[in-house]
Amino acid sequence: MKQTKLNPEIEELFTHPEPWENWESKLIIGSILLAIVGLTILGILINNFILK
Amino acid sequence: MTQQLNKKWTQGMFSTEDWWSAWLGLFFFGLGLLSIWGLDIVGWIAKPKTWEWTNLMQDFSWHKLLKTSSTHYHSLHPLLSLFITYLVFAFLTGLGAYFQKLNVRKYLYGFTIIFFLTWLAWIAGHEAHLSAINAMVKKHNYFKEYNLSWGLQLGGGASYLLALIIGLVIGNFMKNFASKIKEAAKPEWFIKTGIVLLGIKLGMMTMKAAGFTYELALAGAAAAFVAYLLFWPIVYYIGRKYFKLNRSSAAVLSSGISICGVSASIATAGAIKAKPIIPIAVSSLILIFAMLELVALPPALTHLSPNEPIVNGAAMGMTVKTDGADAAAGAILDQLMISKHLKQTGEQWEEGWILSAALLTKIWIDIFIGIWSFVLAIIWVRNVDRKKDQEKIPKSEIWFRLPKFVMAYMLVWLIYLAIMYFFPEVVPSAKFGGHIVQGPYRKLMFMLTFLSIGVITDFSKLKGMGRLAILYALALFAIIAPLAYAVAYLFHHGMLPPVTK
Amino acid sequence: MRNFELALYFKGLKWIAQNKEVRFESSELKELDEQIKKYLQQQNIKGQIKVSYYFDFDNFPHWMRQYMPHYFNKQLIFTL
Repeated sequence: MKQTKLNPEIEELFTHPEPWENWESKLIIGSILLAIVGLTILGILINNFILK
Repeated sequence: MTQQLNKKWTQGMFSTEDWWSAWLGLFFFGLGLLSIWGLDIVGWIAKPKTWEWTNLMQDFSWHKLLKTSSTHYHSLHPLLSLFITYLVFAFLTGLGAYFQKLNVRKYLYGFTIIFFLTWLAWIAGHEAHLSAINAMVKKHNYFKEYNLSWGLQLGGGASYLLALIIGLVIGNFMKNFASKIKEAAKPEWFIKTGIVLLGIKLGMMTMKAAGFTYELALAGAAAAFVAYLLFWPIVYYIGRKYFKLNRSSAAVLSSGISICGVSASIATAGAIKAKPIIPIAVSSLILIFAMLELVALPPALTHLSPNEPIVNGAAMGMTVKTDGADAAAGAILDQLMISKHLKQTGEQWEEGWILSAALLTKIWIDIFIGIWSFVLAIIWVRNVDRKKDQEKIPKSEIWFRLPKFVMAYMLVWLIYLAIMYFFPEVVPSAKFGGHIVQGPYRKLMFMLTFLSIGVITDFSKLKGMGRLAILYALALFAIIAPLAYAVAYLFHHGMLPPVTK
Repeated sequence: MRNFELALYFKGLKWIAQNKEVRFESSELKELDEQIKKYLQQQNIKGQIKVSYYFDFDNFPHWMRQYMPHYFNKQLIFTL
C-alpha cells in the first residue's frame, strides 16, 4: 500500500461526520474531569513532597 | 507473500525494530558490564575531539580529530578505531536488518553512507568555533586554549544540528539520493537503542542522586497522566465539532497530536479498527510537525525559560511527537541550556538530566498508549460497533502495543540500581564500562538518529493536507504546547540538575 | 468452541480476510463478519464458534513499522 497525498478518495475517509452522541460527551467530560482531579491531587502531593 | 501476524506473545521478538532496539541496547550494555571483571571490550569505539581549524591546517593529524574511548586502546590509530566502529555497527545493525526482512544489501549501502555522513557532522560539529564554551568543561576551556575571538558556544548541540541539517538537505533537495539510502534511515530504531543505553546513564545518575532521579520519574509519570487525559479530549472535540471530522479520524488525529505521534495514531487506529489509510495519511503530517518542533522548541524554550531546565525538558516530552524527535530535541535542549547557563553563571549543570526529563515523560506516555488504546477499543466496541455477537478484545493487545525498548531501558536501570544496593564495592568498575557505553555508543545512536530523521522528513508532503494540517498546527501550537508547559511547570518547577564539580 | 482463524489486511479501500481455504472481502468490517457467518452456516458448522482475525502487519508501509509493530487482533464469538 503506497503512501499518497490526501486525494479526494482519502479525503472522504476523514469527512462525513457522524452525529455527535451522548457517549462522546461522557468520554470527553469524564476524561477532562479525571485530568483535573489528577492535576489537583498529584499536584498537591508533588508540590508538598517533592518540590519543597 | 510474507506475513506478520501477531498471534503469540513472542511474535516479533526477532523481526521488529522495537525488539531489536532492546536486543542491541542490552547487548552493548552487557558488554559494558564486563568491566566489573576487569574486561574492557567497549573502549575501542571512536569518539570526536574538540579541534580548531587553523591549528589543524598548520599540522594535520587524525589524532586531533578522533580518539578511542578508553586508554586501553590508545595505541589504536584513530582511523582504525573509526573503521572498527563502522564494521561492528554495520554488522550488528545489518543482522537486525536481515531479521526484520529489510533489503540487506540496500540497508548496508544506505547505512555506510549515513554512518560516514554522521561522523562528518560529528567531527565538524566539534570544531571549536561551533562547540567550545568559554568556561571549564571537563578540565578544559577550549575557547581559551585555542585563543578564540568568537564562537557559537553550542557545546555538543552543534554536532546534532549539523547532522539534522545534512539529513534535511538530503531529504528535501536530493530526493533521488534520499530514496537510495532510506532503507537504512531508521530514526526510531536508532533512537530507541540509544534510549536503552540511556538507562545506564539514568542508573549512574541514580547512584549519584537517587532522590532526585526518583522524584523526576514520579513527577514525569504524574505529568504524563494528566496531560494525556487533558489533551486527547480537547483535540477530539475540536476535530469533531469545528473541523467536521468523523469519529475514526478525530480519534486517530487526537492521539497523534496529543499523545505520541505515529505510534499513538497507529495504536488508536488499530484499537478502533479504523481503515489503515487513516493513520498512514496522518503519520506523514505528524513526522513533519515533529521536525518543526525539534527545530523550533529547544532554542525557544532555552531563550524563554532559561532558569527552568527540568520544566523545559518535561514540557518537551509532552509536546514533541515521536520518540526520535523528542529524544533529539531533548538532546539539543540539554546542550543549549547547559551551555547558556555555563556562559552566564560559570556553573555547569550535569549533562543528561534535561534530556532525561524529556524522555521520562515520553516513556510514561509510551506505556500509557497501550492502556489508552485498550480503553478506546472497549468504548468503540460498546458504543460504535454495538454488535449482537460477543466481540472480545484480547488482553494481549496491551502487550503487543507495549514498547519493548522501554522494558529494556527499565531493566538496564534496575540492574544498575541492584548493583548500587547489593554490590556497592563493584560500582566503580561497573561505571567504567557503563560510562563508555552510555557515552560514545549512545551518542553515536543519537547522531545516527539526527541524520536519519532529516533524511525521511519531506516538507513537500504538507501539500494537499488541507484542513488536517490546519487542525494539527492549531491544536499543537495553540493548545498542546502551552498546556504542556503549564502541566510541566506545576509538577517540575524549581527542579534543577545537579552541578558538575 | 470451534476456532476459525483468518489473516486480515487492507487493500485499495477494502478489508480482506483469508486463510488457506477461503477469502472474504468487504469495505466494512461488519460486513466481513456477516460473510464469514454465512460461509460457516453453509458449511453446516454448528455450536459456539470463535473467529480470530490477525491483522497482517506486513501490509503496513515498512517505514511505519518502526513506530508501532501491531495493528489489531479481533475475536468474534457467536453460536450457529
